[in-house]
This record gives sequence, C-alpha cells and structure tokens, in this order.
Amino acid sequence: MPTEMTYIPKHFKLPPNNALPRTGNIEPYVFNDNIAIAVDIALATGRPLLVAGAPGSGKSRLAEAMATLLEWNYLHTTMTSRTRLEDLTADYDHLLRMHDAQTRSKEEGMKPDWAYLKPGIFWWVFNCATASVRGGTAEEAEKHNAALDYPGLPTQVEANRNKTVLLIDEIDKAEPDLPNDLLEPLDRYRFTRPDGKQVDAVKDLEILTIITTNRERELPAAFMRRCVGLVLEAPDVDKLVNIAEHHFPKPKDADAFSKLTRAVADKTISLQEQANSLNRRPPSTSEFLDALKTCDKLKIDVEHEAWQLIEQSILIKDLSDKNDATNAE
Amino acid sequence: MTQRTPNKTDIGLSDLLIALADLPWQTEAHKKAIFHALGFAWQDSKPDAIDSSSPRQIFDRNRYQQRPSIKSVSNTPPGFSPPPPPPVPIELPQLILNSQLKVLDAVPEEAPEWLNQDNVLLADEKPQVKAARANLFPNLTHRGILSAALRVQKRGKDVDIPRLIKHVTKGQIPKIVPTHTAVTLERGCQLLLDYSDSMVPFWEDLTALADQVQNVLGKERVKIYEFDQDPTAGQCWDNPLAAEPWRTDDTRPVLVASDLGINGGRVRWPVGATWRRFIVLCSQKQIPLIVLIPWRSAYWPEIHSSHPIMVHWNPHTTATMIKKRVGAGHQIQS
Repeated sequence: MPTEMTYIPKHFKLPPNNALPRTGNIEPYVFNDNIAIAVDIALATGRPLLVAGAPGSGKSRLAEAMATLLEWNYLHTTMTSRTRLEDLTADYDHLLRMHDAQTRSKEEGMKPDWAYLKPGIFWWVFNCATASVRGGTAEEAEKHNAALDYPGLPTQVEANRNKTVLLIDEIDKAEPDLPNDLLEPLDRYRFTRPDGKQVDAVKDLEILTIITTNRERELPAAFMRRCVGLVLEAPDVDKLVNIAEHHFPKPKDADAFSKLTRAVADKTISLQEQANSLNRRPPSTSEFLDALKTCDKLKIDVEHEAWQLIEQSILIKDLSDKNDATNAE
Repeated sequence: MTQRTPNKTDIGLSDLLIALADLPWQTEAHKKAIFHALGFAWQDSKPDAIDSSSPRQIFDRNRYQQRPSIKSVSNTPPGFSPPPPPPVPIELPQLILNSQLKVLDAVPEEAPEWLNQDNVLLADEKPQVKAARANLFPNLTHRGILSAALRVQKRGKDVDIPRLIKHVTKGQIPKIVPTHTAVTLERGCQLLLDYSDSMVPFWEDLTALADQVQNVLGKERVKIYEFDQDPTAGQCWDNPLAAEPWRTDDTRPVLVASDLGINGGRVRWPVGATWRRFIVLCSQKQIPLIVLIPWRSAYWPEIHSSHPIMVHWNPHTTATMIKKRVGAGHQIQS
C-alpha cells in the first residue's frame, strides 16, 4: 500500500510508492511528508539534518536509505562517551608507533610520522583520496604499507565520487562538549591534523550529514541552531501495518499475515500507551517488526499463550515491567 | 544541490528564504513543516484590520493634530544638562459623543441560562501567555555549571608524552601507555532533592533542577531521590509502586538541593545531626558531595567538614567558581 504523500521533493527522487524496497542489506524504508521535506531542506541549504526519535524509530535507517536513493557514498560512525573530535578527524596511532620503535630493525627504519595517522570519518568525507594514503603519496603509502581501504560503502556511480551521506549516530551519547567541537568540520568543511596541517574538502564535495539523537541528553544550543530538525513520531496502527507490508512484501498466506499484522500492531500501540503512562520506554517500530516476524515464523497469533512470553521478551524487555503493567490496569 | 558556504553560522533567515524559494512546497502543512524544521515558529494569525470608517469609533485619529516636537536647549553650559521637559498634554477632541446606551428591559424573574454555564474561552479571545519562569541556574549557564560540578576523572586517550619519554629514556617499557587524565560525565550522578516544608518556596526550582541535570547528563545516568529533612532517608520513585532507598554503595557524585534547614533564619547554627551523619557517611565512602543551597553563604550553617562542596544555588554562580572548588574532576571508585 503506498504511503500518502503530498510533498514531492526537489533535490532527490522518492522511490515508487514512497517506500524504498529491500536493497541488498539495506532494509526497506517508508517515507512521509515530514521526512521528505526535512531531507530536501538539508540538501538545499547544505545544513546537517538532526533526526530525533525514540530508539527503533528508523533514524539511522534514514541515512542508509538516502545513500541508496541518491547513489552516493555512505559513511557512518556511532558516538560513545569516549568519542573525541580526534577520533572523527585524525589521530596518531601512538601504540603502533611505540611498537614499531621497539620491534623494527635498523635496516627497516621507522616509518614517517604521517604513516601513523588514523584518518577519521571527516577526513574520508572531505578528501577520500588523501585519507586512503594518510596524507602521504600513493607511492610512499605503498612503500610503507600504509594504504587504507574505504571504510564505508562506496558509490557505484563515478559522477558521485565526491558525494557522501554521512551518518553520525547517537550524538547524545557523546560527552556534552563534543557536539560543539563538531561545528568547525560541519560548518567549514575543514579541520587541522595533529601535525598542524589542514585538511580541506575537495571543491565539488556534496554531503548530506544525518545526525541522530535519542534525546536522552540535551544538545548544546549552538549546535542545534545549525541543524535542520526532524522528529520521527511513533507511527499509528495504519502506519505500522504499512511499514510491515514493505518489510514483508510477499508473505505465504497474505490474508492471514494481514490479520496477524493488524493484531500485532494493535497490541504494540496498546503497549506503547501503557508504557507512556508508566513513564517507561515504549516498544518501538523495530520491536513491532521483530514481534511480527517471530509470530509468523512460529505460526502464533496474539491469542496464543506463547504471545504473553513474546510480549515480555520482545516488546517489554523487563520482567518487572509486565507486573507493573498488569497491576496498573 | 548542497551549497558550500564556508563559515556558516546559525540557521537564519537566509536559510529560510532558500528553503521557501527553492523547494516545491504546495500546502500550508508543507510551509509549516519547513518553518519547524529550521527552528522557526509558524504563526497564522493576521493582525486585526482597523476599520476607520466605522461610525462607532470613539476616537477619530484623523481629527487629532500631530504633537509638537520637543526642541533641546542649546545654550546650556558644558557639563550641565537641562532638566527633562514636562510631558506634552494630550489634546482631547472637542466633540460631544452620541450616547450608545440603550434602555434595558425589565429584569426577568428567572435567572438566564448562561449564569450557570461553565466559563468558556470565547473563540476570538487569545489565551494569556504566561511569562517563562527563570531558573536558579539560568538556561544559558546551567550546562557549564552542572558539567563542572559533576564531572569525574577517567583515564584519557591522549598519550602523556613526557611521562612516556621518561620511561623510554630509562630503558623501560611501561606496561600501560601513560595517558593524560580526562574528565567525563558518563558516570552520571545521584540527585537528592529536599521537599521539606522549609523548601516549599523552591519546589518548582527542584523540579526544574531535575530536568536540567537529566538534560545535561542523560536521563538514564541520573538517579533522583526525594527526602524530607533527612537525606539518608532519600527515596527514588523510578518504580511508582515501590520506592528505592538511597544507598552508600553507589559511589557516584551526589548532588543535593536543600536549604539545610536554614528556612531563612540569620543565626548560623551548627548543621543538624541528620546532615552531619549524611556528610560523614559520604566522606567515609568517598562519595563526592555537592550541596546546592538557595540562600547565600551568610545564612549557611557551620559545617566542620571539608568534604561537602557548598554552592550557592543562584543565577550569579558560574562554572569557573565551581571548577575552582572541584578542580580537575572528582575521583571516584569505579
């Protein structure tokens, strides 16, 4: 069933039926007006797109889907509390350098400093060619065994060699100062290496930067003011059914699967309402799809006694939550 | 497509213009979505048109002459300024207004229906917009203040070159590469909020503080306990059906918001026994303790301990003040 959309984006072409089908390892993705508008704005203005939503709502998948639709390179990184700006731009591998100092013979000699540079995600985006040789030349990189492979999914379209979809996932997990540290590479398309040299982006670079947040932590205002915002709301029953139809396009028994899908979707919405009233994390879209897949595989419907166990393991994920949910009724 | 404009600043009107002029929006919903995505509010109310031809208009601006301008005195000696001139009196029109009053009918014996109806907001009335509440730690500075107060030390990734060189020059290979200490908020904190009677004027501030701490550290990293006078009896209501008591085996920094029983009194008594016990417990377990007090230091009770870091919970408190007290971050047992 095609998603109803009234907005036709200018800077990219929506897939047929407004839903990207499964493409290799890329999961299906259903677009809506808000998503299309936000992405179109990000492409028109060159601003990063900050996508917020509950876990499992499809934030990270949007980046993969856009890379597939646009046929651009795809690079991604997931932030943690230990992530520093140098991890995303360039840093030295001190341990390897110290190891080589101890183990390399006099004849072999030490490698030049640049051979110990570890290009981060921004270096790969701004200038893939120099990142692959760590800032040296191709011949030197070959000589010192310092050449690197592209760490993401490269485009198959030659004309899109300098066009990249960059996913910075879960930025709210990073330390509070890190988003502000990203402003220079995001705004100016350049950064400074540890050796003081500057890495600038190639002239015909095009980037779509998608940054996701679970909103577990507030982001700095200076960072938020530079991003286009998109909030992925929890879908209703009909949208869940639509999403399921794209994830499972050819079920064996279409009628039975359709009934099962609607029943599981109804259950999911009911559990979301319960979780919200108890101030718990509600089950997500991905959990709904997991539950549906399991029901179909085990040939179980929502009335089956095994469904109670499925609810607990997939949708609620906490033994105490179920008792609380029952007692609260 | 994407426009390379280096030195970009905040999203502003130019981005909005680009989006509105470039993108093929068609409906009001599309337009609203564009405004919201760029962080602009969308208002669809139009200013009321003034009907100047209406005979019911009380005051006719067209008949009022413009006010004479006030000329400054040019002959005053230097260093002296003339007193402010008196305000120009408003000229009232020389009109006798026709009365709009109507003679009412006799008051009916039965009460009208509308008298017993619930008050409803009329369709053309605009609801009053309440002024935003100012927090004791302002929105602009609370991130820096709370980060400075709650950060803990951890092993960093930056190699400590001088220390490493020292080992190498001695011919020693360190088992662990020496690194600089870094600070982090990833350990989170325990937030103890005093809901006793003396804190009643600050109850809304306590709620706002909880939001601020969760926003900076992350909701899952903050455990919130509520207590009434005795912080050791603090209880966490994450599970609304069963309270969890505060324990000392959690060594994360403790941030307490309380007036320590001051209640606005000016006499500096020694701190009460419950607080002394609490401070000693935290000190013995090496739990970093930061106390936010809504009164200034002249009101603080005497605490004969260097363990708690006392902070005036006030808009004038800065992150620098906190950093001077906390230093390079708390050291906690992992």
